[in-house]
Order: sequence, then C-alpha cells, then structure tokens
Amino acid sequence: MFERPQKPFLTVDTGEAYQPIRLTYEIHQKDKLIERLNAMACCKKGRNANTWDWFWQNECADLPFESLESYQQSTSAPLRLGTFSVCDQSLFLTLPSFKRACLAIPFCQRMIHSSLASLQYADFVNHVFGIDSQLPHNVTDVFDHNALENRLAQRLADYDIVQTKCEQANTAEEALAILSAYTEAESKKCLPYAERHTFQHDNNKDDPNTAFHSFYIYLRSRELVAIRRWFSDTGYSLSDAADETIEKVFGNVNLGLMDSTA
Amino acid sequence: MSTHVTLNKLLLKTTITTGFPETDTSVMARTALALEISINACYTKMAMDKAAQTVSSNSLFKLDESSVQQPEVHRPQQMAIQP
Repeated sequence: MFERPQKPFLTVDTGEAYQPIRLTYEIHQKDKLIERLNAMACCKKGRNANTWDWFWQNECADLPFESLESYQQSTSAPLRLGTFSVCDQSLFLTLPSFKRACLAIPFCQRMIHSSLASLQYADFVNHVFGIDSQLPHNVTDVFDHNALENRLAQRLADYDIVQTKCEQANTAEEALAILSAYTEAESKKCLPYAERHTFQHDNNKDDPNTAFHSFYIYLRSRELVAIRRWFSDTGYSLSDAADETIEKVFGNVNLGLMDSTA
Repeated sequence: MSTHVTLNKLLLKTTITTGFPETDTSVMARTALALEISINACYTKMAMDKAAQTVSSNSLFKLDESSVQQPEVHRPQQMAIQP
C-alpha cells in the first residue's frame, strides 16, 4: 500500500482527514432547542443569527481523538469542532471530519434530548483533498438535497426488495444466495462523490445504539476507501475494505471475537 | 468453515456495504474497532512520512451562511470516484 512516496492530503487539527460531513436533525421544540444550545458551555453564539460554534472544551473536553498525539487543548484558544445552525425546522451540525461526526452523535444524544430534535440523516463526501485541491467550502454546492435524496431513495428501495425476496425465499440457502449477490454487487460499485445516510429507515429506528454502530461502520469504511485510494491504491474498493475488515474481526484474536460455533 | 461463520461474515459485509444493521451489536462494536485500527495505521504512516499537511479547522471549514437561509439551491455535478 505505501511502497512509493505519498502526496500529502489535508488533515484537520485533531489528526483526521478533511472530509466534510453535515448531520441534519429535525427540530421538535425550537425555542427549547435554542435555549439548550445557548446553555451549553462548549457552544458559543456565532456571528450570524441562529449559528453556534461548537468548541472542544467544557462538556465535550474529554472527547477522544486517537489519531492525535501532539495536539494540546488550549483553554484560551479552544479548537472549533463544528458549527450548529438552525434553519426553519432543521438543525444542522457541520463538521470537517468523519471522526468528529462519530463523536458528535453520541455527544448530542446526551446533550440534546430527543424531544427537542432527532437525528434524520448525514450527508458526507467520499473523498480526501490535496493541498492544492479546490475545497468544498460551500456545503450547499456539495450536499444537493434532491440528488442525495434520490440516490438514497433508490438505495433503500433496492434494499427493501432484496429483503422481501429473502423473506419469501423457499430455503435458507436461496435467501443467502440472494443477499450475497446483492451485497457483492453493491460493494463493487463506485462510491459517489457525496452520499446520504439515513437514520430513519425501519431497520435503524428502534435502537439508537444499533443505528449509530451501523452508521459508524458505513461511514468509516468509506473513509478507509478514500485514504487507500489517495495512497495510489486506485483499485481499492468498498469490497476490499469490507473483506479486510471482516478478516480482522473474525480472524484476529486481539479483537476478542471467538468463533461462535466453537 | 462453518455455515454459521459464513453467514456472520456475509451479514457483516452487508452492514458495511449498506449501513443497515444486519449484524449483531457485539460484532458491530468489534468491526468499529477494526476500522479504527486500520484508519489509524494509515494516519500513523502518513505522519511518519510527514506527508500530511494539517490545516486549522478553525479557518478551514467556514459555514456558508447563504446555505442556512436558502438551503439546497445549487445543483452540483456529482462526480463518481473512478478507479
């Protein structure tokens, strides 16, 4: 993977690749939500109306960034992790890395009660950027709602069809073959530049922890693909990332997974 | 390899690919850890090569305020990442 000198790609202060991501919450009680954001010591009102900068301090000072060794938190100049903004009935949290999004979701789950706002979807970029790349400063340009929603709807519809076919299969082997063919085909597809993940699909809605775990896996496997592709491994696909990860999960004793049939 | 392990591997691959939780939570937790290790290995190697240029997130990712007022008005080209 790393046999020849590598071009640098942009990382953020906390050590991860710069990959824009935006979480969208549906607001249920706007006044109380704004009251809550104003009350959080890690949030400071932004220069514009209905925006709050989220800093790595106070309530979230203990968020861990394993990719980071040398960065020291400063109380006088705290690091901005992201930006909250309220628009109509939506709360957006815009962040510059996947890792921050993965830390932000459980943090917000603790700090912002679900009666105030609930997580709907995440929009993100499947790409890392070079020093001289044109950066997507304007999130509106990247996260086109209609395009992302159409692609998501298609993905959900395809998945639901496969699920129905599996349920109607005559034998377990037949169901497995259907799911296997679908998964293989999906994993070999080119990842789109920008993508949406929903937290509102039936399979995700019941248990927030399960929904978060599946999101984490979905998102960070794509981060791995983006980084490996940047490192000149241009043929690296989601299927490769999945196979590598499965090998580690089922084959590496350090991860503590035992063969459940043993 | 037992059918049970083969099934678990397939279900995990489906979760990685689709984001739908076909796998049980203990396997998902281990998968998250495995991904974290793989990604951090990339970052560690990159840091050793001094190949990364760190940019301040305080200045890098400014919120486009116009998007708050008028969300989703632009329709960009969606580029597929080609091998």
